[in-house]
Amino acid sequence: MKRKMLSLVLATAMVASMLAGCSSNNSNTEGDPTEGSATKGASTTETSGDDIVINFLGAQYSDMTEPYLREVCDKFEEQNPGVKINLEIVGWDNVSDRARALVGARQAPDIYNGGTASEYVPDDLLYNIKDVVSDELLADFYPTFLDNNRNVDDGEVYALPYVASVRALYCNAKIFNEVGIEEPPKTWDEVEAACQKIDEFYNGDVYAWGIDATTAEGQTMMAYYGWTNGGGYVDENFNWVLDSDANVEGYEWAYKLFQNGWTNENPSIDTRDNMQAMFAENKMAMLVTACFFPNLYPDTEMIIGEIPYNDKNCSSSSTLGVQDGLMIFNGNAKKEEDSPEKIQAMKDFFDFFFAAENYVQFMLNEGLLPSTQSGAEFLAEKDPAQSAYVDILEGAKFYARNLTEWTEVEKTLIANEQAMFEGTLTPREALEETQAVAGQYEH
Amino acid sequence: MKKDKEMKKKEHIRWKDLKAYIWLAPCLILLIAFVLAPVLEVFYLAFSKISAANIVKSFGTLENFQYLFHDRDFPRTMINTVIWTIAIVGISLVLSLIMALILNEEFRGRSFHRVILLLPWATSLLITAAAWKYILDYQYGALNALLIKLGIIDSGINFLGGATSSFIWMIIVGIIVTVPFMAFTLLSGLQSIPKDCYEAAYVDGVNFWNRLFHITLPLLKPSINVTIVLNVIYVFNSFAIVNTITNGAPANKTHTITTYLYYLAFGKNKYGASAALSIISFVILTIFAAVYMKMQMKEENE
Repeated sequence: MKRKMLSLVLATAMVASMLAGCSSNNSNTEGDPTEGSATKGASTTETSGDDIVINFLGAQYSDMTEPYLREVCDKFEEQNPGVKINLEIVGWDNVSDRARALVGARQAPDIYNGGTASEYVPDDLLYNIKDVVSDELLADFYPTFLDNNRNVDDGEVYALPYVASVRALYCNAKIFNEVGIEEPPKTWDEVEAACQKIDEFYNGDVYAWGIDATTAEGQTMMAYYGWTNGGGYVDENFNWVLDSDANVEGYEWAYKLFQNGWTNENPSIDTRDNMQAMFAENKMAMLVTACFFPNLYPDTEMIIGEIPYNDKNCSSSSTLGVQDGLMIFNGNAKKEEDSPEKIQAMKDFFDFFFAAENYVQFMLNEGLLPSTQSGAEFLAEKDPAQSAYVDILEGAKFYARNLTEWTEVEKTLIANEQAMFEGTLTPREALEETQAVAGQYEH
Repeated sequence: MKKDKEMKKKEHIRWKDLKAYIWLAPCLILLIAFVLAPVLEVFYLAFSKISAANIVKSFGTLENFQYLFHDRDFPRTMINTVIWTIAIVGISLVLSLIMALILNEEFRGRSFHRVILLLPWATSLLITAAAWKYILDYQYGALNALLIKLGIIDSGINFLGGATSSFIWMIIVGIIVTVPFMAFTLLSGLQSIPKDCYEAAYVDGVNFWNRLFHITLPLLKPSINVTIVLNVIYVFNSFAIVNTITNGAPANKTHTITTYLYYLAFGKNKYGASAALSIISFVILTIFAAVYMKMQMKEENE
């Protein structure tokens, strides 16, 4: 009997602890022991004397991110006695989870880089950036970048353009030389021809084309195969049009590449990082990926081209631009309202941070692109090669991240893409099922 | 430790020993703060409307449960979880029993082998899972390389290619990490069986199988029961393997409840549905524990 009781008690305690673990992610209770130390960084509010404390939760772009941002913050603190910046840098995979957990607990950081602003706007948790950014800095941002962050419902901007990147087609120069292809393919037909050549030359040992339908990046497929065929995520009124004929044709084309054996075998689990590694080991010939790819593999020779398009339906390519924003949480997301002094301190901090001499070094470290005009000019002097991307960026298209339901639709799209590669849904069915979820939302 | 004290608590209440409450207070406060309060909070969240920003908008709705029952991936996740739990616990139990029996025999290097057995358990689950992801990799995987070198296959096998095969492989990984702990629990049970029983059996000339089925297993039953209950709960709630190896891919077909509820909350911003799912799994586990205990008690009475 005693043993029975013991195991029953043990069982109950274990079940309960599992629920407890789940809850601590969602909300604040007395505090979660596992998160205790990490929480300190972002959730401690003004404590030490009269110091103004600004909590900054940021995403890690590379190993250089934290040391460099720390350095900038230290310099700022030196010049602004009485202001302290509490910097917490978290990996990209976890930063938005962390932010949402903190917001749920009303312990939001003041400044946050990661995720999408549109999730927080309906609950009135973010400052309109014009209230927390100086007029000079506001004027310095590229207007298109600000527009891209504009909330669909009220037309206001709730995220500062922080850093940007563009996607391009990277071709493995060694493979191209061996096979005898000189130029990166521009159109879908040219891609098919190149794939065939590469596949025949290596007898299937080299993947000609990389497809990423993983949970992290699968949403890019619509940009790579929909936009380049005249389709896309949403129409001009921000209503979802995922199952348009142009999109279906684009997905059918991608699926055809996969079925022909020209792509990686497991688009659902081969992440961008995996494929970049394959590319660097000369096992993959062509990959559409972000402009910081060459930075990560400086020894791999690459030929850079635009994302190929279907010249039967489009006259030119469409580049995917990805922009990360800085959000500033207001008093609703924290336990108390910010004092005017604190808001002024944040304005000063942004002026300091986005000053070209501080900001551009950050871009150079990470291989990213600046969102300010002064930054772009400064970069052009320092690194013309990287600066060339800035021009591409100006013509780039962006995700429909300014929609509140973006995250949900994105994940649904990815799951259906994976079903397509598994063969359980046709490309049309995959997009129709996604549209059925997305279509509930109207704007 | 907590559980021990909790059990002691019950005895103390019976003895009406007030002093005990004072000694227990710190532990009780901790339990209430870190276990009971969050559990209640999950119940609250499951019946609340929660925005994409994780802010509770209103309480008193069943829409989170409705969302789950209309969700395409929900049935598959439930079935997966059942298969996952039964397969891992069942197969591990057989393997662990064999290992425990071997390690209970006297042979040279026994302690060394016991330590070896414990090593996989001492390794972080996340690291084990990540290592297996690479072992099973189609392109670079050690397993494919090994099989090709041994001449068993000509070209690599895409182990993680489909939902079924990747799920089977994750179950195998699950078994590998479950066996050490199980084997040790059973081994400690074996060691508590009095030697006299076996000596008497020897004298009577009882063979190995009869010793196993009529002495060892019946006397080991309490340990087996504890092992089953603990591991069912542990495996049911296991997160790291699925999260690391497939993360539910392809098309959310390889999720179990825990990874799926994480995906709902932090992938899809469906915090309410995620809380609702954890309530469902709480209910399932509670029913399992209760029914299993009841069955055991009934058996004992008979």
